[in-house]
Amino acid sequence: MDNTTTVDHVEYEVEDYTGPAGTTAGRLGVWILISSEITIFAGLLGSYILFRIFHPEWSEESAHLNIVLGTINTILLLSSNFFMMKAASAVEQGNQKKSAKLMLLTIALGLAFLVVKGFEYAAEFSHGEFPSTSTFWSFYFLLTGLHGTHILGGLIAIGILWAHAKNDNLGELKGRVALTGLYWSFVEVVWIFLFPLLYLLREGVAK
Amino acid sequence: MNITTSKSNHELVYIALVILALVTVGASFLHLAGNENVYLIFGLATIQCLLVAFQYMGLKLEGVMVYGLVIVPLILFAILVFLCIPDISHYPLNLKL
Amino acid sequence: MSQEHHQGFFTKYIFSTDHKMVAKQFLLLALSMAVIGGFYAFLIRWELAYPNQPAPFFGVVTPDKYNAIITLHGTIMLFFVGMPLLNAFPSNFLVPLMIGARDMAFPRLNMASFWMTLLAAGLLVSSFFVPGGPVAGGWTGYAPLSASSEYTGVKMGMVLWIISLALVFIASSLGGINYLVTVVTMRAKGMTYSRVPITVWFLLAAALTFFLAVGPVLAGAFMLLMDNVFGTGFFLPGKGGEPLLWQHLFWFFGHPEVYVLFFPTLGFCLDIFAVFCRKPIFGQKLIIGSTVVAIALSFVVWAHHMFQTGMNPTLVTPFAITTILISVPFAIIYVCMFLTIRNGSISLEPPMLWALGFLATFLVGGLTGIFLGAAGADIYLHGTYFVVAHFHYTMFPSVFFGGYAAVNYWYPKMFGRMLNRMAATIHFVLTFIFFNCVFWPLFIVGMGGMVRRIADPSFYPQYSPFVHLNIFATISAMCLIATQTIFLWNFFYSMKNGKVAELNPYHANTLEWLAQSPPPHGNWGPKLPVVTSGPYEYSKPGETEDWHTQAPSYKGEAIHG
Repeated sequence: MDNTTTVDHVEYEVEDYTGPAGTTAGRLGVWILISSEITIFAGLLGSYILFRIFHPEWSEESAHLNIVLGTINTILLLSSNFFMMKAASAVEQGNQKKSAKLMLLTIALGLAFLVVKGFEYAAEFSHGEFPSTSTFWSFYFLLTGLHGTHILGGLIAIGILWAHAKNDNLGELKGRVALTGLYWSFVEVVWIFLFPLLYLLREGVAK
Repeated sequence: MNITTSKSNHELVYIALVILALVTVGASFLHLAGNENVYLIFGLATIQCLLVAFQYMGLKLEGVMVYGLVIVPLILFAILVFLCIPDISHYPLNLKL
Repeated sequence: MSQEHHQGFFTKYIFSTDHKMVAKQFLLLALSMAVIGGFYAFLIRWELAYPNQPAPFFGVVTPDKYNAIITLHGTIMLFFVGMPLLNAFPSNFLVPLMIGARDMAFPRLNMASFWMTLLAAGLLVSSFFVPGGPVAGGWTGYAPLSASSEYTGVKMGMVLWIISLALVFIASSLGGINYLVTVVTMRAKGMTYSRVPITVWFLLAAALTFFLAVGPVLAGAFMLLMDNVFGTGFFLPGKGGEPLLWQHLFWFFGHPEVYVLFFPTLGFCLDIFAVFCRKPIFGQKLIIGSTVVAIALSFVVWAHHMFQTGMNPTLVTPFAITTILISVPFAIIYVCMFLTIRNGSISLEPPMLWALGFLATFLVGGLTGIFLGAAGADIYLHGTYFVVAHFHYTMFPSVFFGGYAAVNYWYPKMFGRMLNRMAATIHFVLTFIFFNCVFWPLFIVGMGGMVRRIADPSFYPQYSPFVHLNIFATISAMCLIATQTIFLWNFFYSMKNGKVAELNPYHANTLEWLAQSPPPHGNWGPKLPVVTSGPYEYSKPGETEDWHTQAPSYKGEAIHG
């Protein structure tokens, strides 16, 4: 890290700053964003849990979810996250083209997740299961929909970084690969809890 | 030492996560008594989450401030859910209109 | 070494990433929206005093229009005046300057934050003109009224309101990220945490409280949006939903939100007291400790807004206890403020007048909150004008007394000119008098049982004793609104015609006063200031001057030679 910071394309020296060593400004910023996102999903998941305790009969409706597709999606997202971590390491080692390939894999797996989700939605609609059908389905579509938009946003960010990395052109954006990876891991963590809450508390499992 | 310069064990973590995910799905097919099933499933999910947080997200290398940023929202989540349970979840309001 | 590069009109004024310009943009937005919010206040008071008579510049305020107007008045004043004026504008302007940085950590994110807020304001204003009219569910948007258009006929207006609020919440969270990261990573050499001025601490406390609290209400907003647009039943009992869940989610945010609006004003007043009494702040550590306790408690008091909703009665006692408890840290802060002023060399410049006025009026608001927090008394007082008077005696001082204090105090640094002192003093005196004349009577009519959110009091014979008080409040309100034109005139006129300000007209210690007025792009000369002391070295025994700047070695060269 060099000794200057840039404000509006004008360079200034940073030796005069007393920030802590280690956590950079970007990384702290992403953690604060994650902190705020935890509260949003906490509100949604908390509401779902509150309803769920009061409605044990939702376990019947939960049984209508396709657990095979859900498990496949879990593995897809896990793998996508793994490749993003490798991509961040590749950038740190200076190999931008390798990281571009890994980011492409990340995007492909993320897109596959969305495609599988799309199939699930289509199947659910064809069975007459819409958001307005019952409160369980309302929560299901809202939770997975919001999670899906977060995936989409992440894919766009990774796409932009890929476009630069494949031409060895990351420049100032180098640090952003690890930061996007941090965000991507958070999206993964949300799914780790979303999946059991929606799919796995089926008939005969939870009272 | 920061997240990108520490020796990476991404592969090991990945394999552990996949195994845990499959075990969690399998656990949902067991028919344990009462609430044990729920505890087991969410215990496994928590372990997965901690693995991702500490290894992939680098939480083990971060300082007090980042730990605080993660722990405080979780405490708030607990407050919201536990204080609303008497009202939303257990209040005997049987309005099936 | 660096040369300031030439900025075109659009880069300098419109699409600026410079934190000072973004701050001024937020300030202008706040003032513009305050005009609209104030107009609505006039319409509300008109209808209450002269029911069903055509209001000037508007016409008859029918009940459904009244509902829309009170909703928009609340939404605008809290989120489009309060938050820009107390959080966005001061944090943007002051944080980098007070810690000796050149700009925010993420300047482009800062600009995005402003444009999102502007877009949100535009969406809200556009909702006045859509079919079905604007949102009319109260600023609190209680379900099921707000969850389905079948009750009010308002659909598009409600959707626009929800989206507008979601945008402004996200924009404020992004701003908060900026302020926090800037303070952690960009403090100048020697600016340790203990030397950071308390204004910055309170602005950070507000930002932190905001982004920790906003999650559940955003979640609720998505659910409410789905109820309105997709026919889901999150909050509709007929579809298996739970209306009280909306209230829990909303107030879980809503209560910390009022502290988000209160903390910055506390910070301004403390710094202003130190400067205009030439004394260090009394009990700085005690104040910060109390603030931390208050923030923690603020997350477990929310259901005191819901005592009368029919929620589980078991919850009432715990929340009443925490509500009474939270008055303790604030009382401690209040005592510290009084002890800061005590024995000081007080000079009654306009910023000091506003700070003192805040102390006096907020005290009334804080004390009357105790009546409402005691759940037994709340049975009678809930939903009456007592509540309206209480929250106006807390919010108006926080937003306007605090906002005017900040603008009056930092105006010389922002624009290089002084505000007209006579006009500013008259503005304060008249605002103080008329504010009390509007809202004190509302305590009385509230205790008399007059309920809020009704358009036509003459419809209820039991309210006929209150007619004269209502008319008195209305006339005072019209005078209060008219008085603000003095400020608007002063603000814009002095920008070009005010007395040219010296660098540090109030002889304050904090770093921002060392920069030029207004500070150039990049804030400081080629070298950043080096901090060697804390911000409250006033009237130190043994020194010749009664103040001691934080960075005495800073020479203040212009950024380009």
